[in-house]
Amino acid sequence: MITWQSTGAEIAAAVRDGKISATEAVRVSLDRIEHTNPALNAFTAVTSERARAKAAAIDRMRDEGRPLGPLAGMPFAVKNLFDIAGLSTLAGSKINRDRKPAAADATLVQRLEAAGAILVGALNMGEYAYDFTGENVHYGPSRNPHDPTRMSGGSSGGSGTAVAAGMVPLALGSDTNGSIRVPSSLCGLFGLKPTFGRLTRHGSFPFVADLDHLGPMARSVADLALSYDAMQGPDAADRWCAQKPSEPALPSLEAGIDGLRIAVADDYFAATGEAEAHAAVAAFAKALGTDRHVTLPEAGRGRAAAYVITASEGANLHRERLKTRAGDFDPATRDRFFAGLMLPADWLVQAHRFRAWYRARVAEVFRDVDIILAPATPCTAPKLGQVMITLNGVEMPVRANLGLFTQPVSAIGLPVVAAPWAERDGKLPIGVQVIAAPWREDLALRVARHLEKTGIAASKAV
Amino acid sequence: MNKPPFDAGAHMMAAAGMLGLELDDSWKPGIQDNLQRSWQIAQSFLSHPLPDETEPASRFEP
Repeated sequence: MITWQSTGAEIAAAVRDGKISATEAVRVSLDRIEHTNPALNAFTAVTSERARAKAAAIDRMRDEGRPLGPLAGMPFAVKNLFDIAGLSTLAGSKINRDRKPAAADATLVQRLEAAGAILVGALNMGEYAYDFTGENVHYGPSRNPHDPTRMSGGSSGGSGTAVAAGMVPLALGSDTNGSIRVPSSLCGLFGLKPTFGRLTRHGSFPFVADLDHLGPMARSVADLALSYDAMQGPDAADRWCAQKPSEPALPSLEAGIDGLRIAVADDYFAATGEAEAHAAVAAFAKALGTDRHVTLPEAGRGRAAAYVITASEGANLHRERLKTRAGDFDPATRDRFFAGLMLPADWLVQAHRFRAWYRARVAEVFRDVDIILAPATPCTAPKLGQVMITLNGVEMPVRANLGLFTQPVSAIGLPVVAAPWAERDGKLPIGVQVIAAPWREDLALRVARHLEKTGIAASKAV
Repeated sequence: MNKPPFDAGAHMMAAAGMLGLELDDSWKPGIQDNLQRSWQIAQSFLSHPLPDETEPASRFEP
């Protein structure tokens, strides 16, 4: 028996074992969407007909005795910057409604469906992914299921809302500066931002070509690993996608933490943020038996470099739209894009040079350590509409600073699992970043799984 | 000689002319705030010396 709280792995196992049909798995998801989405606003399109047809095809395969994929019957949804055949790829904007419907699904959607997963729709997001809040002036905010008066986090806000509310067990998001990890933290989910270049971005609407990553969000580490493994592999259509064979994470997921050198990030990552953000890191460190600390050298400057690269390259992508349709942007996005267009070329080049220097320094740190723990967000979910937050007595804008701890990590493309702290006693969720060296997603997932197994990290649909 | 302070408003108007942008008056305060914030943030890495050999992270493969 499965319910809306079942994980994707549980659903796939039940479908494979013939305990339920894929049609029933999709019905549970669509029912949950119908009942909860009107209040939470996660979806911008529900592809019910397509999902039912796909489920029927999987059920036929099983009836015919043909082998089913590892994700057979697992419903999933994608941030609406992923192409879905027949729909315009909105990327959270009003302007993109005028785009022709996509001719084909994004490659990652194709790969998940090839493994048996079933797409049920497109998810709300911050406009053009330039967002950490999950708010959107055109489509309304995606609301946090733990408290619908609060932010889901962004820009993959609908992804956070949909998974946390049990509408789907799995969603895809994108993460340029933290847009998978921030909503994962605020909505109490596991989220994987893989190494830059690991997963193809073909068929997704871009934001910052040098920093964009795609990845899964789920309520269990096994679901992250299952979906991540199904999505890996080279793709010449994305020039940044590494020409590497798949390196499956699932086979070593239960290997535990023996032999892993684990440390907590200090300095920049300890200097600000609410007490519970650091309490979560301390609880994780204790559970992992480490009191070791390391410094990511000049992380604050790394974040600043990512900020300027994002502003400048993101704005360049929209230069023509800023000239012809500026009034159709979300005002909060428009003003930042205009400002980004006006930054000197010297700053952009220097930011990329700094990033190269910073990457080399952090690589030195990873010679002595395998996993680094850091807070995912400086606070729990702010109220919708909240403009400022106060951290350590300093008032700062919410929009830019929810990514305070995520931005220095994605700036150099490191793989991260955001894992939710289990010990919340009814309080709002908050997460921790489990960071590994480039291409070692397997280690970050292993550690997250260990934390899940020992009860320190946990996620549930609410 | 003291370095003159960054004038975000003047920069905005000069850059808008150079880029051929038409700015509605109601947008200007928001753009100016963002320019000021970007300037402040950028100072952190701009002030950090780098070896001449450090190349930009972006790559191009012909």
